[in-house]
Amino acid sequence: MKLFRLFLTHSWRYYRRHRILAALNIVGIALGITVFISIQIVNQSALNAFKASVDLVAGRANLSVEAEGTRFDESVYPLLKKSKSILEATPVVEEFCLLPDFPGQYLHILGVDPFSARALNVYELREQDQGAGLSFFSDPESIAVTEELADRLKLKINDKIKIQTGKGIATLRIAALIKFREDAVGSSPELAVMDIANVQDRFSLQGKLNRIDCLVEPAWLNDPANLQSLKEELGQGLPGNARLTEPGRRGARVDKMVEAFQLNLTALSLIALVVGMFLIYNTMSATVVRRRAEIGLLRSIGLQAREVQALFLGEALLFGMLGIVLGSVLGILLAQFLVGAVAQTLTSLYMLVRVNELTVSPSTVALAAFAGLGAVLAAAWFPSLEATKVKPVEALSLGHLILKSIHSTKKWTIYALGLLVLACLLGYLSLSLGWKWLSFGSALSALLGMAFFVPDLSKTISQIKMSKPLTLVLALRNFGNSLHRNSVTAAALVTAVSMVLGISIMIHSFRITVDSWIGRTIQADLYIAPASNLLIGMGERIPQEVVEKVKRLSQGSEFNAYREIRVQLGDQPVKLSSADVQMVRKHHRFRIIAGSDEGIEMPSDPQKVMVSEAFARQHTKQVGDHFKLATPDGEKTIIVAAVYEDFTTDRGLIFMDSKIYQALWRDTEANSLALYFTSEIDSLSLQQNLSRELASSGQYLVYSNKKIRDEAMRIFDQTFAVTHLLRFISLLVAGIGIFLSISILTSERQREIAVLRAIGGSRSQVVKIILWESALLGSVSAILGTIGGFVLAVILTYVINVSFFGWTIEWATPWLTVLLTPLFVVLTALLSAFYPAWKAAHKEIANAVREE
Amino acid sequence: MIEITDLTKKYISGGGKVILALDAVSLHVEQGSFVAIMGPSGCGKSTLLHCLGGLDQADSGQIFVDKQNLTDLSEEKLTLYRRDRIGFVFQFFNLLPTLTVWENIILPVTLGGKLDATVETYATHLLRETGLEERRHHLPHQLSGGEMQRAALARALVKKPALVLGDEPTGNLDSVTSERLVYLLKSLCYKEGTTLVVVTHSHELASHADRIIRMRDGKIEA
Repeated sequence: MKLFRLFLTHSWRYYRRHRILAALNIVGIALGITVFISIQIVNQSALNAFKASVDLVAGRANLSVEAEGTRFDESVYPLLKKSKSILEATPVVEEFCLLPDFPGQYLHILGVDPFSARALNVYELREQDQGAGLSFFSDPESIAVTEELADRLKLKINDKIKIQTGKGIATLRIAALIKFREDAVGSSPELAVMDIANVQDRFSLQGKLNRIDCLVEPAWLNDPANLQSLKEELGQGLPGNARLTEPGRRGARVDKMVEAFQLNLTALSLIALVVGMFLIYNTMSATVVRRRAEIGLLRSIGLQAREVQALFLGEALLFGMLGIVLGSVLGILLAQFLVGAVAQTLTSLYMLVRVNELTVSPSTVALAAFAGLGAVLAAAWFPSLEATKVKPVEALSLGHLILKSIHSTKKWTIYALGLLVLACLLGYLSLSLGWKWLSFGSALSALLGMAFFVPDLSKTISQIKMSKPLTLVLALRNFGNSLHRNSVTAAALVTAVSMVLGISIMIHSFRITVDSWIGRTIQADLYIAPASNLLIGMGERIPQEVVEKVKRLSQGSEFNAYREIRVQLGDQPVKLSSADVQMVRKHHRFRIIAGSDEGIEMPSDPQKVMVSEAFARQHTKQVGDHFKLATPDGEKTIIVAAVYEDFTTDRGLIFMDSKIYQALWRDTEANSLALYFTSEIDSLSLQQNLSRELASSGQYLVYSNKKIRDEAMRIFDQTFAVTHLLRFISLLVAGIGIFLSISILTSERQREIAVLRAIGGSRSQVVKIILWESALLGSVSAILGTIGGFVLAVILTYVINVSFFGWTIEWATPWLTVLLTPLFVVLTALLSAFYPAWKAAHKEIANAVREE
Repeated sequence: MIEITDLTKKYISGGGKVILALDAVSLHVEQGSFVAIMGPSGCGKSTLLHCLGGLDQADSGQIFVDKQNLTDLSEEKLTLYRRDRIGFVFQFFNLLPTLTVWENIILPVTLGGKLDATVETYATHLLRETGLEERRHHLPHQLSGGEMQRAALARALVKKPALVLGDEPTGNLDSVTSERLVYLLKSLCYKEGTTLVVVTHSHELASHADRIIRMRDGKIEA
């Protein structure tokens, strides 16, 4: 209680007098928390949005029968209904479609059986005429949309709405609105309901189902043998690639799919917090120095050393808590800004995500609070420990100038080298043992290692012998004499610059590699794909009749149909892609890293496939290794014939010849088409003709080679959009650190500056001295930050990337960025120091020389 | 040499009260003389010194130093005035901690870009006179209190100022060292004909002055 009262009367009042100092400390922490919490909110919201839609769609069903990546025959349904284990069962067909009258909008259509679905739904259909009964399902043009969507698009019952199907544009009537029951979990405004037969007809899915949702006794699910016996009971009727799963588990699979992407975003977001820690350390240690006399006084009247430490830690915690509150609010705002970009990236790379509301869970805020308070306490620990070492006698004697500086800088260089060695070791262990987390440890060690070089480099620079100009000479001396202050500030800036540059180099290298890969692999003259791909990701198919139409129109061009489905390998989703291998060999230049693609177009046992580098890494498969895939006719043994370069997905890709795929999966559909013109073709008129025939109603996109390359790079650039913001915020925090540091230094030296002014130093000379010192600070940071950037880029490219994604990225240096970054750093340092320098030069001399 | 007429300076205290640091002070000091200003704490003696040295500006009245009206000078001109015409010796923190003794001594002329062989010769002479030849390349934290004050004295004199101002120059020294410093101060100023004005609580120091001025409550006592 005594300590708390002392805190209120002493610490609180001190910071009330030094509001700017306090405010900047709080802002520094807040920025770090803002970035961290916004990323957590965005990640969690995206996952929850997907899980919510899954939950809504599944309703009360606790068992789901689905085939991996494909649809299956509806003849399975009556077999399932007959089973005694199944209490309720309902067939489901799902499709996605665009709304031509509402750009950017899509519908997630559930085709349901009105009778069997009723027991499992978590929604009701509200028709205008409630007495109309089942007229909704009997009318082939009926569709039900959610109340939320209707409000948003200003639609009401009986309004017409156009949807795009594979057959063209269909006009439907909104016959009912979907109202979710109270026990419904989640939100999915894009959900729409139609009769199952209508969906099958409109989307050319006659006789096919996506899945069958079932209700079983909850206890039945606890015994895995029950699932197996159900499978045996269904026997031949169930396709070989059918899976009996609990709908709730789908969320866990999605977690796994996006884990690497979200983890890397989280790691990036922590960098701003690390930079903020340097800021806290610096200001806390400066505060201890400035309040030495107060500490001496408190100790002399009986305050114990540990109580002094508690006082300073309490101040740091107060900053931390205020920073967390501010950061949480700002984080929510930032999340709203970021969520669109992240959701779009997830849709492009993984699965459809539409986030309608942010999830701000108590656990997210708690995690951010824990991280923030932990960072603050860690940063404030050593300064508070220094406070306990203040000797009352020394602190209270007037005119006792403490010349505290780092005299021994060599030990920091030794620590730095040690940390770099540790970084190498952790990187090696991460790659060789597969412990991905160690790769982050490697990056952190490298960042800290570079920061620890600061004292020695600063001391070396401060000892440069110069005689002119005088202001630079004085700045060099001051710089060397204030290593205890400048080193920490420079370390923060080194960390921020290393991160900025390291990520820039990695992204640049990645971009060059992907661009080169695209140049080699995207060789078709035209690509045709469903327009919905832009909004909801790759998933829509091109009906067979459209494929045939394209063939007819293509005037003898060579032709390749691409198909992509998602399959399970163990508990991990993997993409399986197929195309005509001979056509691929003829027109594309895939880079085969290991093995050979010879013979993969021939049926064989085990069946030969190519796998992407990411697949090989993540599933630890090499050429000659086997694995099993579930097909409609049962499990098929696959053998890795070759590993090839591919950047389509970080989850890994299996590539199979299309004839083999069609035979195994009995699926002739295509997701996209590639056309290769012959020399006789008038390419422009063909493109125009196809565009007219296919794209006039907007349901298909006809892309030229250049356009598809541009689109691919656009998706690539979008993936890294969030990192630009994170880098900027880290630099901002470092800039605040410089401002604070120079302010503190000028405050500590105000007597010295006053003497200089008294003996004839002009204001402009004082400003120049301080700006020179800040430029030296910036220069040290720029030099080490640039080196650190290259070091970090190596770890990002060759350790973290390989550990998490398995890609081979060819190094490319963005020289313009490398040259401009140091200039930018020095400029930031100068700008940050300008106000403190001006203020110091304009302080009243008489007051300053009076102060002891 | 120094002519002060009705000089007044006010401060607003933390509680908002107006404090009259100088209350219509008038003073005349002859060229080359040694004047000691004494008085209790808060009597305005340091304020008077600061106004004389161009470190502070009065609210009203006039100060002439060598026929130069300080009250008319801009901030820039005051800086040049301090640089060329005034030498200061403070009680504490006289020297810049990052410069050697030699560098501290020549600092005023270096600030003005006027360091040449003549000045260096004179600075070396001052180094010798103050007994600091052996300490030429030492940093201030390596010096004793007396050595630091002797270096400050040398710095104050290196530009051959018209006026040297001392604010409790012996306040931090023992009696023997004080005595030596006062002797040095007086002899070096006399040699160059430099006017010396010192604020002090020390009767021993004041006893060496040609004239003692006593102040109380912002006024000069008759």
